[in-house]
Amino acid sequence: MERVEELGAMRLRDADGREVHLGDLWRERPAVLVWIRHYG
Amino acid sequence: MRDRYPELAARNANVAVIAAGLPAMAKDFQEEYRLPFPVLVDTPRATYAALGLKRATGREVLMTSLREAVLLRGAFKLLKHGVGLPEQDQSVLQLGGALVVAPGGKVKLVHRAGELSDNVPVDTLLGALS
Repeated sequence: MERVEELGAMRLRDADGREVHLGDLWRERPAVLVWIRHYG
Repeated sequence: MRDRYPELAARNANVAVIAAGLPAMAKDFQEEYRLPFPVLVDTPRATYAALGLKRATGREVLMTSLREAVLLRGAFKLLKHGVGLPEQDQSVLQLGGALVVAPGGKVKLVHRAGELSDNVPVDTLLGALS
């Protein structure tokens, strides 16, 4: 799926400022990502 | 999802929540709800766009907010964090979604919310991991 390839190339930061390469989340293990509307 | 995280972890899944907004808000959110998985900050909402997540109308947001009394909670959050939120951070119109990906990148589930209360059940996430 093209969009997953696009997502997998993206990098975000966690709440502590550490960079996370999204593709790493599912490189060797399954991944569950949930996008939320807002906090709380 | 927090309460059922052990079931997701038992399937060896990496779990993460993605949210817009300020990193400090993500930190507060993670601590307040004692989330055992990371909260990733996507301030320009680039991943929301990449996954094709939808946006609600202003009317939908207003009606749901009134029904669920979230306006009061929102006001409290604003008081706590200040009113200087950049416009590009959070959007009340943004809808959520979910993605389950198998090792290597095969998509097992994509959920794009069609309305504000359209949250994917954890059972559905677990099923996609089976």
